[in-house]
Amino acid sequence: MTGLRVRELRAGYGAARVLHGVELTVDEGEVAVLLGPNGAGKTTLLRALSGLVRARGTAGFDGVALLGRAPDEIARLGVSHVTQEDGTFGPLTVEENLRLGAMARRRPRHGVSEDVARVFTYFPVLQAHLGQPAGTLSGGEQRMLAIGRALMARPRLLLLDEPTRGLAPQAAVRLFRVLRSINRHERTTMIIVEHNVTAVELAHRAYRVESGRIGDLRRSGRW
Amino acid sequence: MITFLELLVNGISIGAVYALIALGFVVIFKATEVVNFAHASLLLAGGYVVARLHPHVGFWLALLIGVAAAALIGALVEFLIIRRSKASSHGVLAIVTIGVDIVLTTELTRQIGAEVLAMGDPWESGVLHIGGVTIAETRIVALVTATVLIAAFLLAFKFTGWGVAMRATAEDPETAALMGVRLGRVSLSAWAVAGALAAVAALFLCVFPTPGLDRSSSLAALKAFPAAILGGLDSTTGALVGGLIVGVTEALMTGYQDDLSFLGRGIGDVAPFLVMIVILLLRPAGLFGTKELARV
Repeated sequence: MTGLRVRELRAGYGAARVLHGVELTVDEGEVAVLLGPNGAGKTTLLRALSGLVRARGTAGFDGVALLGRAPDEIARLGVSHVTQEDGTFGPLTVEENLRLGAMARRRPRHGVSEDVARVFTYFPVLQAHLGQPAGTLSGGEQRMLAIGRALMARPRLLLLDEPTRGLAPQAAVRLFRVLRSINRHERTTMIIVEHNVTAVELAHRAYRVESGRIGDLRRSGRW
Repeated sequence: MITFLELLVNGISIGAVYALIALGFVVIFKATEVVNFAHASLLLAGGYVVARLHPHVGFWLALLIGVAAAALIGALVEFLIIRRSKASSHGVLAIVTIGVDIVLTTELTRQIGAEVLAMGDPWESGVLHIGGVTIAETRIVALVTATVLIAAFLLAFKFTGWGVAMRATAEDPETAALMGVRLGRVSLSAWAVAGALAAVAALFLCVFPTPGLDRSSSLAALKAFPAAILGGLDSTTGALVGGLIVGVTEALMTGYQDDLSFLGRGIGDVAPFLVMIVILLLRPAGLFGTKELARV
């Protein structure tokens, strides 16, 4: 079975243990939503999967072990992580940010303009700002840029940390629609960390993370 | 007026050479946040290779090997020391580079001994007369070369994948890594490019009217420090402007030394540092530096 298999994942920062044996399964093409209170370990789980935090246990994506690899190597395996801070490069233009997203691909220069056009189909507002420094975009636009940039890598697994944080309720609903559309059209497997429970509507699986442990809320049918 | 023009052209030319050194310094700082105090020894190493090899292989090949050698030494310092260091603080790494500088400079100084090594350049002591202004050919070549190299560097920095990766890393290394940017390669290439630029600068610091490369040549490279710092440590534009300010200040102060005798002898050497202090008092992050980097 392809997809993500996480078993007995333990991680933390120095002496502080945050995750105590997390089990997580997301099949190829599925959307998993992780809910839970602040400090429960949701962000740490994503950071462990993308190599930003050292972890023990196993995490296999399409049969390839993720743990122990550097973040850039994991990115090149097809895992894109949009962090809570978005991480758009302020002084770089929107176009340069998008081009950077393609660096994780096997052939970073091939088909970039087609992919930029594909990102515009999901986030048309970016088109008008192509030559503009990313730092001049609004918060919502920067979020779109961060997700669009992640799509440039043609990821097979997309990790999104609170994508609707700070967005107005309507903007959040619109973003969820776009994410659903990305999942449908690109068949991108997604793990979305959210506080916004409406995210569950687009989820095939929903997990609750609490005190570094995880529980399967439900396994929903496909929409 | 003629004296002023001569001094100005010389100042701009030597300033462009300082800018080459400062640019390398800034590139390393942007890519790794390390203040590289070993920069002067990279420069000395490059110059030394050129000086030693040119009688055997000719000037141009010697220059090529010297540039490659300085790039290699820069890359080795990054690969063997900076990358492997467990030090989490960039301040500690900066001190490590002081150690590297001491080791490299001591050995090179020992090799050079009391000699003054000629660089074997084809321009020798030729001068050009433009109007009433007399300028050494080496100064013109230095200006043209530095301008071409700086322009090539800035274009690469702006338009190539390497440049975009470098700028992204400077901005936020963690996110750059998440984009698939190999931070090790970015850092390695920064050190190599800085080494190569320093070697070219070494050539022009040691050709006519300077007698040649000697044990004190790395001291000349120290003037690139105020250039990088007053421009703003994290700004390539700052490195260029800083280089020119330092070069012109030094040339004018040295040229008019006799009129400035109340300031004491050797004011030309001190002036760049005085300018740096004044600028830092007014703008703590340098002319073009990013404010939050002032605390580094």
